[in-house]
Amino acid sequence: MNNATGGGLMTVLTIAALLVAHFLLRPLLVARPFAPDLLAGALMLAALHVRPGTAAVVGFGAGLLEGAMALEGMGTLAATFALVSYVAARARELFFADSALFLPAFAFVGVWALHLGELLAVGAPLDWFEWLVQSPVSAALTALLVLLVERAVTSRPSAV
Amino acid sequence: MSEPGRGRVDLAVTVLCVLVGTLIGVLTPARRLVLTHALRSSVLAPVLLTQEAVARRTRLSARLAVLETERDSLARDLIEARQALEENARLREVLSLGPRPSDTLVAVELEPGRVPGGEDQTFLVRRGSDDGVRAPAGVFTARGLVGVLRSSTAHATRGQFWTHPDFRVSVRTATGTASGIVRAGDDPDQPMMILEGAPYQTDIPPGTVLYTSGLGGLYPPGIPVGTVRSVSAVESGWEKSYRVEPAVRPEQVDVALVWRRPAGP
Repeated sequence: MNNATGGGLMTVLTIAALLVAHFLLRPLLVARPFAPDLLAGALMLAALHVRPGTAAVVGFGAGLLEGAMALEGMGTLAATFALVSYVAARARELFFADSALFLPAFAFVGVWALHLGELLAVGAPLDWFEWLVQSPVSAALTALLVLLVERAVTSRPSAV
Repeated sequence: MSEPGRGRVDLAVTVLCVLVGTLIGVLTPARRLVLTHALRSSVLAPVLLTQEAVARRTRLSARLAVLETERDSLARDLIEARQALEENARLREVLSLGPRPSDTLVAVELEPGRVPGGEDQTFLVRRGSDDGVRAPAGVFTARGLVGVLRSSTAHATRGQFWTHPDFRVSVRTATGTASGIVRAGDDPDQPMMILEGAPYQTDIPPGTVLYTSGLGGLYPPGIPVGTVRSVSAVESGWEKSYRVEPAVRPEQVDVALVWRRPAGP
């Protein structure tokens, strides 16, 4: 197994582990709005490493499962997650640079956008405190998590 | 495939995902529920089973803590009760009353609402006269009165919770200054009791605990029945009614005690 294949497998396993952890810990995390969003983190990691189409499929699947767990917004969540994942992956292709600030900024904006999409998808009225306070804090924690995981898993992103 | 070609494929895949997601979103709730159920019973099943196991374990841990506290409390009560019994025996000896008649308590498991053709306020006990459980007899827990056994066979007994419209129990305050009859309240949505027949001249302040008086021989005296909350009605110059918060709600009871009164001389 060469380095690129090993790194790709490691990334896939990490994304899967984050998704499994998200669904396992969901009852705990739902009650803590300032916790990192593992599902959003997994989608941003996927957007960093895979093609936009693959990222959209991952987002679609994650959205379906999230809708089934939450018992609301099933299809709209899947569509929203697919769209945000695609846009994030396209943004990575367009803007990726070796700047140290790129990755946390990318993850922060991506997670925040995903949260807004999630709010709109389930048809909930826009709660400004949630959108302007809780969501940015959660996005910042998630960005930190993505940064740490990214550094631990691979030193250089590679398309799968 | 060239880069622009792959870009178009990515876009097409994304559009397809968004379309399928939107289609699922506009399905009827019943059809979405089918899809939800399919996912929850397949891909998400291990996750849900794990969450359920953790939740059950957490509940059991909490229950264990409560049971340990109850056990410690019971051990303390038992020591005090032994001392009280010894003192009682000495006093009875001094007063030449003879030994105290011994009653018996039988632990039973209640199965609420499972009596075929029965009413909501009834329960079944899978022990009968062969096991020493005979109707009529009072049923209670350490917290207070639960109901009454109404009819028994050799191996099963049927009972009524205090919420049953036919239920009545004679009660009095701890000091014995007021007494009356307690029955279930009239509003089935509010699990409250009504104290009737309380003397007009005697005020029973809110917070007063009512105990079984022992009259009628169905219930042992001194079992908590409920706590007076407010005056319910005043019948001019004759008697008052009070709203009473029950000591025990039927849904809180799994295991209870059946009182077997002392045998007569």
